[in-house]
Amino acid sequence: MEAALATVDTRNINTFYQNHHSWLYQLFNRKLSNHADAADLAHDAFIRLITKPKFFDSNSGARAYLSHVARGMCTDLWRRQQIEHAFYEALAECKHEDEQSPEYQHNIIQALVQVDNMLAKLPEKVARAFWLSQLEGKRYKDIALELEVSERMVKKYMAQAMLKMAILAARNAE
Amino acid sequence: MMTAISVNNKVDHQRLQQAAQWFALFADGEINNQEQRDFKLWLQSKNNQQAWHFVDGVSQQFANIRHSEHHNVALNALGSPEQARLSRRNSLKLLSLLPLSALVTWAGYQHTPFGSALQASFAGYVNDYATDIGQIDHINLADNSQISLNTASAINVHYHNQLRLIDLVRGEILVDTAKDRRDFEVNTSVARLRALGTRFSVRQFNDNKVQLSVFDGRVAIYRVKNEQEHIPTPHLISTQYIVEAGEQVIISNENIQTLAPANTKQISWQQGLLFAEEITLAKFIEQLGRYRTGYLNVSPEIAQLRIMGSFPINDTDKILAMLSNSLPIKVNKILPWWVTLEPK
Repeated sequence: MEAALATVDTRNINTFYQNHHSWLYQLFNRKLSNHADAADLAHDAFIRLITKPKFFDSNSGARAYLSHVARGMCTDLWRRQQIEHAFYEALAECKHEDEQSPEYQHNIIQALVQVDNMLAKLPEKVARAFWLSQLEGKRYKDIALELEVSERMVKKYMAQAMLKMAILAARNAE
Repeated sequence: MMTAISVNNKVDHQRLQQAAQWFALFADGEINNQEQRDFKLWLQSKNNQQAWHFVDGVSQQFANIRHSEHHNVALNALGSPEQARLSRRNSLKLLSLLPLSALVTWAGYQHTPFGSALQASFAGYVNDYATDIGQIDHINLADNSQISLNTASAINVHYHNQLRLIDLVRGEILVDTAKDRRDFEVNTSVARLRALGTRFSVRQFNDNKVQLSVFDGRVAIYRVKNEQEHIPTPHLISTQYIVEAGEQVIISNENIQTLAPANTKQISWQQGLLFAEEITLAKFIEQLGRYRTGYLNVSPEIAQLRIMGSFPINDTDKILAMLSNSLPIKVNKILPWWVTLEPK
């Protein structure tokens, strides 16, 4: 048993890895019932801790954090796969003369996942307004009609959405 | 325990808020000249630039999808935000797991004709002659003197019995004076410029400085102590400073500074051309920015590339396309009025 006050520093990545990797892998495996995905996500989680070290007051604190992160990673993976699936399905339906490279497809899916992630953090009408403006290129007056709010409110939504996403971007860059 | 995510300090939050508000103003596609000037002013602060950088980054991610070839396929794949939300009802609101900074790289340069019609400048109704951003105009005055107005410029013309006076409200003019018994003067925010048979250009900067370039003849600079008087009485006039042909100076409230010799290439705007002689991309874009509505930015990695050539001012989109053909840069057009130049 670890000492209650021992601090856990993820910069000691070897120790941290030994203590928690197989536990985390099993957690992923349970949730996803897929060995390959579980191994990938466990790997990604540790990469994140290397690039952005964290400190915990105990191993159980570390595990609470890891399982919190793991849940998010699982829902994100699930959503990502949905987007991927939908993208390929939609792509198959429309016949394009020139085939896009796998790299291009990967990039666009990546972009969709990121955008989806950001929009999901916004209140519904705010996300909808931002979507209509920035992805569908609609004017505020048309968005106002569609959402049954004033044009001023649409502008307010836009600022609110952007502020929230910019704050996330700023934090992620830290 | 989780370590706390470091919280942005209040100033940063405020700046992000301002940046987000600018974005919301711009995102509807139309901004007027005043708003554009205000934004450029706001963007002069380093801290504001930093805040804008994040807004810019987020916006680019959406632009990447909007500009991708499979725009519709992509949108269908994403479904509506409501659907996305439903599937996440029970998911934890974590910080995004994917780094926002990892910008996708394929964003295509999509040529969209310059969108919103330029709005008539508010000042255009007030001043005798005014040009919008990107517009160049030539005026023949009653005495056959000629004045060309560069982009975003405005003048008022006061022809009196004893004096022909041009008020330079903003921007830049090129003057070719015609012979007349009356003196010809240009009034600026810091000084009066009296033409002594001549061709010269005057640019009024926002920070109350004025650039005078003389191409023919001479121009006398003097100050008027009582601004209200159009025709100052001699005792209210300061000592004159004469600028000869080929010279150019910056006049401020404090002093007169001599610049490198005046070069007629710098007035090629009169013919609708922008000349670049071995200048940096950053400098060139700064000049180009005068002729273009909206936000034009160069990434630091390519700012020092050298530019040479002459470019048609009336089509700044074309100039950007020309640049991207001849330099290792790509033009990322987020919105018609919002363009960033990045390394290829």
